[in-house]
Amino acid sequence: MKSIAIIGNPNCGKSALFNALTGLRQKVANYPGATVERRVGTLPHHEAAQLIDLPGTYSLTPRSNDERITKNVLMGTQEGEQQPDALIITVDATNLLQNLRFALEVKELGIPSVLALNMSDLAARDKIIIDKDKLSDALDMPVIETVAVRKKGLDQLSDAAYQAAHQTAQKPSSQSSTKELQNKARRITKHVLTSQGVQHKLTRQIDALLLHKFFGVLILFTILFVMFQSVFSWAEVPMDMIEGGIATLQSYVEGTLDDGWLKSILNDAILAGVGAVIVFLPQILILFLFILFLETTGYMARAAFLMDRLMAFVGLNGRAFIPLLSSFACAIPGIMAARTISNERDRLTTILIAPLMTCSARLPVYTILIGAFIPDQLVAGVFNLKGVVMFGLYILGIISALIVAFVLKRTMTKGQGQTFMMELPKYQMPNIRYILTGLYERARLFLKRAGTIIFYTTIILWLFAQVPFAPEGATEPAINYSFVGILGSWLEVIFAPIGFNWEISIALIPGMAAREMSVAALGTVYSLSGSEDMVAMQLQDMMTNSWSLATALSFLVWFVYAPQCLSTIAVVRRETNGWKWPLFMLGYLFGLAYIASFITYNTTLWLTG
Amino acid sequence: MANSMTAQLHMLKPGATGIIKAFAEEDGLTDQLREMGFAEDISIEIMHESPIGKDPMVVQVGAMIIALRRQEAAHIFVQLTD
Repeated sequence: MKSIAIIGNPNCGKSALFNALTGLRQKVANYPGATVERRVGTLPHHEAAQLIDLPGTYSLTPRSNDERITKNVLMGTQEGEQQPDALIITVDATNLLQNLRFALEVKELGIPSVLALNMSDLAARDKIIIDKDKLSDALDMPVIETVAVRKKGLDQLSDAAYQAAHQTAQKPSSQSSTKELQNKARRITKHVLTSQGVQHKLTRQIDALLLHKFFGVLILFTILFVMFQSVFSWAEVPMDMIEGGIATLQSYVEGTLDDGWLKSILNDAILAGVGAVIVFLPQILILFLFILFLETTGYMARAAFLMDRLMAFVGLNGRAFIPLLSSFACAIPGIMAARTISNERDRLTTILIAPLMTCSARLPVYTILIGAFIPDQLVAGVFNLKGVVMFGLYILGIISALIVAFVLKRTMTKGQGQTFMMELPKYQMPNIRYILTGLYERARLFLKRAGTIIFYTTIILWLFAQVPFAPEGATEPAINYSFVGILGSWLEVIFAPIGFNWEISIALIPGMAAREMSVAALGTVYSLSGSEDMVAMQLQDMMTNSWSLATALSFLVWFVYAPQCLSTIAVVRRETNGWKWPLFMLGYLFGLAYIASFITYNTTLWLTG
Repeated sequence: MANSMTAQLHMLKPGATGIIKAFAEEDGLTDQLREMGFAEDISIEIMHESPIGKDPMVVQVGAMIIALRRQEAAHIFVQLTD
């Protein structure tokens, strides 16, 4: 099978071109031993050729893990990947000089190539005119104008690449220095550029505001604040609808089935457990919507610039801000995004603090507790107290992360700091297709998790909450005699100092699989242990009735720190090639969780008398 | 036209414009700067500086906008336009 790789500088529209070429017929996997995504599809009209998307890079001197993959694949030394038969070198037509330098560097490898002159519509708008025949002669390869977002030139590109894949590769020529390549690129650019074009001012004008000393920072923090407030306010309606739907189903089951195990497993396990989690889908999607939007417009790199100095205080750099911001949605893509950090120690530090960013899986826990214990009142006339407490929990996570980073950089991950150098891409209209694909992917993963791990864990929990059966003439709810009840009473001893009752303690175990699972488990445990009146109540009301404020706050603080997510631990193990760092992370986060909850619980008890 | 001044990039403030004249030395850092798009005889303009501590800075180099710390910027010599 012929293999064609698509490469180019970051921000040249390479991935958009790949998406346009392969559509939904692409597979995303990981390279063995590395968490760099391997995206593969087939070439349009030429099903016999596979197309792979390689991480964007400025040169063949790798400066980070993902760039190393690009180099290894091109050299044919990447495990599990054949050396490409042909390359599609993508260049940004509005930035020919810079992109040509890389094209020339790649050309020296001798692999048959096709040049995709991408973003040719933007170049035309800026009155940049490139003589593509001259360019083709100068580079000795076909040159095809493309507009990825409008699917222009794709068939031509595909045919040319397929033809190239049947040519024989040449021997690599001797490597030129970066300076020599620059000079060569300049000569060619001068030769082929018929019109220099007018400088596009829009990005500069937007930057004048968004990077402004005062307004820039204000806007960044406003965006972050709005993002977190929206998670609360926009999600309300769809969440109510989902909740209503589940309640309808529950009462339908209640009214249709006779009392018995089937009714119990449906209502107490599946609907109470899985339902308690599904409700949070709208919040998670809203969070991802913001992150994808910031990414696709080009704002994310600006945020990294604005945050660089702040990050430098704790020994990191602005680049770490992007993985950390992604971690607010989910630590897993965040930890994987850390691979763009070239300094190994900075990358490690970023990975270790990523779980402190409040991920969307904590939202179910936070939402339900804040809903139950924080009064619905306005602060300073505009902000809802519930929203403010939520914001406070996010801030607690962030500040803790900064302190941990500060300490780590001076102890465990000591070493020279890396440089901060980053291209700020041109602003672009948000790519709706990219955002929708991203949201779809998130929703699919979330529902899949709810349908599998959470579904089965809920049923197992339900089962162990049934057996052994309560003895004849039992005075307490049946669950107290079950395995779940017994284990809960043991765990309660450990967790009593931080104010957790046995129901919470037991919910922490399934909660190890995923944080939102704790809510599902609480739903099941309370649903089973409740009297008839209690069952009719929502989980939230049950908490209000049976937990003290101190317990509720302690539980909230616990979740700021506790690393209750098997997937995160697994991905840290993979990213750090061993158990040392994931175990260290588990230890320090559980330690912090216990200490912080202990302080919270006792302080609240003391304050509330 | 008067003789233009040459200055290291890290000394410059937003609004300054010029042409890149040289790099401190041909080392790894210069190579990285070149890969990002810095090159001799290319126009450069200082656009912004960080709100905190004025570091890093944002410069326009040719058609690109690049953020970098002043420590690295010191490697680049700029001939200022009057």
